[in-house]
Amino acid sequence: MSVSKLSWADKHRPKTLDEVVGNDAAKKEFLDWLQRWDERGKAAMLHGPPGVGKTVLVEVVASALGYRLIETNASDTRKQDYLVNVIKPAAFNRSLFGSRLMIFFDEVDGISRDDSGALNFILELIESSRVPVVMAANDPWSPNLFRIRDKVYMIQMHRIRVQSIVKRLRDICKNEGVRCRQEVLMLIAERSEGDMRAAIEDLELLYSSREEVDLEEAEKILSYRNVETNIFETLRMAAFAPNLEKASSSLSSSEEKPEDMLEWVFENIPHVSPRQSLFQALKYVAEADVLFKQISKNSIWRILPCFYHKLASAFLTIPQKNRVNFHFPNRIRERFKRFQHERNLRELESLFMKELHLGRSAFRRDFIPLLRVLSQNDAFRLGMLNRLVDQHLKELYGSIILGEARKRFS
Amino acid sequence: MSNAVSETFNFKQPLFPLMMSVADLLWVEKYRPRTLGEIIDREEVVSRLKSFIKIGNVPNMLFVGPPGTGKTTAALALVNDLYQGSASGRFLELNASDERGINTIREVVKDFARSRPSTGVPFKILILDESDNMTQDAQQALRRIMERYASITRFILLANYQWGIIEPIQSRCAVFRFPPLSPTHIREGLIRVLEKEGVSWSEEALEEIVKAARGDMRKAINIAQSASGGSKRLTRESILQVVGVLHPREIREMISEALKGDFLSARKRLAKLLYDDGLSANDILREMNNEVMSVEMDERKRLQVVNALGEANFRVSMGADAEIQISTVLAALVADVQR
Repeated sequence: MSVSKLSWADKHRPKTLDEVVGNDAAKKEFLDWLQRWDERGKAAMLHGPPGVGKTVLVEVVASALGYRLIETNASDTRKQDYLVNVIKPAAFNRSLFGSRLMIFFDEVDGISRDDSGALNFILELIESSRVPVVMAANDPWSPNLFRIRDKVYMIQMHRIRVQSIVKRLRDICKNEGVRCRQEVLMLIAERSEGDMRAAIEDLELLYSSREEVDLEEAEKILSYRNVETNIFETLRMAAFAPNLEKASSSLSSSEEKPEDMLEWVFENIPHVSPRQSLFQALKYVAEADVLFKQISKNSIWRILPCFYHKLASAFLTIPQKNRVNFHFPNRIRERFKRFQHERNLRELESLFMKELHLGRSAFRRDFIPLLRVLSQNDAFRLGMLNRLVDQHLKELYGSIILGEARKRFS
Repeated sequence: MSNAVSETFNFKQPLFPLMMSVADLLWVEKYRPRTLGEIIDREEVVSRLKSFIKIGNVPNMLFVGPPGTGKTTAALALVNDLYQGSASGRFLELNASDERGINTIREVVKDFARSRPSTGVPFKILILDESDNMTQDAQQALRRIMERYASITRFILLANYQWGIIEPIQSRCAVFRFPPLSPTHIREGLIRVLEKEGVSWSEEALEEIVKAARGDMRKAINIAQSASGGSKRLTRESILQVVGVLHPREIREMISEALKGDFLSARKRLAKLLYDDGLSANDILREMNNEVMSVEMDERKRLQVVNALGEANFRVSMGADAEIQISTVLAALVADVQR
């Protein structure tokens, strides 16, 4: 029995890069990024489900390459004076400390969206830090990270494979002097759903107070870990499912609303599919769209499974799938911006439509381009702006017509 | 708005800027004929309409034809002549852009239709633009209103397609056809505007406009105004440059990207057209169709793409998502022909 009070997870925390199990691609990507961190941006974000080794990877790499790690987590970032007095000098005055520095924000998706102080601070670092800035997040699509996401180098980390977890558990058992059964280790590994930390905690739970445990007992003790599969996992499972049933059920069991699931699939099919199967795959997506409109319009929810079958078919029709990082749907990201833009367009055109005796589609098709060309002429532009008495309308004209005109012709 | 004011308006010395409408800056509106007498190129239609005015009564009417052929102009000119310029309160124009579900018909149209005409005229006129885009239900509601208030309200329905109007309405209307204008008429109309604006032109320039306008007077005048810019001179080059901009060049580029196999770029461009420019799916699909028909590609592939276009068109009109449906057309352009 161990005398140490440290949990096994902490006690057996990897110290070297070799001890970090799995995610070889992410390791390599992270090292590459660090070698050339300034050209590839000042900041990187490791993202993936809990317990896959994001924090450990940062710690181990920092120590291997001789960086001193300045670490913060979500609770630290709420303290403004900590940011200003500790992090800021580290980011901007390299000489203050003797060694090379790396700034690490752990659990960055835990920063509240309303905490604009912390977010602005991070954005400032991303722009101009003089040392590498690394972040870790479980859910990179958290709305909290909306402003950060596009400005950092994203590195995806995956769940760890069962075999890798078993191997690591066996090493720990040997080290702790417990005799473990292969079946029990398999059980722990499978139930962990790729979460190494959870697996080690389960191992500790089973063996810290007894020498031997049989499978039946282990099953009783370990209640099923209820890992909420996130959308990326759902898509991955659907995309690489062996048959329609599995693909369809992984999509339908997601927490995502059906209409959002459609967005996710529509966004990602072209990334996953090679050219020759794209047409067929998108046809299924388009049919799913039609089907869903009918379902919600007529409230025939009992045929919702057909909708998921269509989406799943889109994946299944692809013979050789590209391994990709799934993308967040643009259409969801831009929803609000597009809504506002549409409102602006309507406001501006309502002014012209009555006087021009025109419909909306004709106004956009024929007159917006016309106004853009004509507004190149100073006299026309001034004449137009003079007639738009309302300051608000002048601004709308400026952003919709003149803004575009400048972009297109300058 | 007064025609006299707009005629004397001069770019360099805006006279009463606050009193003028933004539309006066646009030639199409500035030179839109205000009376039936000013319409030169629709002799048959005009003479029939004039005869209605002579007897002081008009039937319900249906004006059918593609965009830019003078339907709205004729309707407005008729109203103007009929009411001798004091038309306010006596007619209502409903643009297609206005909400046109069955509720609008029941409320706005009905309210107007049943209100008593002001003194001095026996009836009011209601102009309904793009009425072929109204749903069947809305058209049925409209038909009942037309019957019920026939004695005090006349309807002028404008439509691109006659068969988009339900049979019972068609049979209650005198139908007037507005086919695309002939090249000669487009030329004459253009020259009238150019002379008044003091813009000189070359013969080739005029030919290019006529070619690009395809019988659409509005388009012809718009091209002329944008191409003249500040220079007061129309050349073939300036026309070609403008036609590219006014005529969605983006759509051509989107199609050529898809043909090169770059689906993601093509989809991005589609999103731009739909959400930034706010174009209707209908317009995008029509333009894509023109382009697909003329661009160089394998005939079997063209078949595949045109089929996808038809399907997308149908589905979007049934309420499906425009971007998702049109994306399948882009994918059809990307795909090799299925054997």
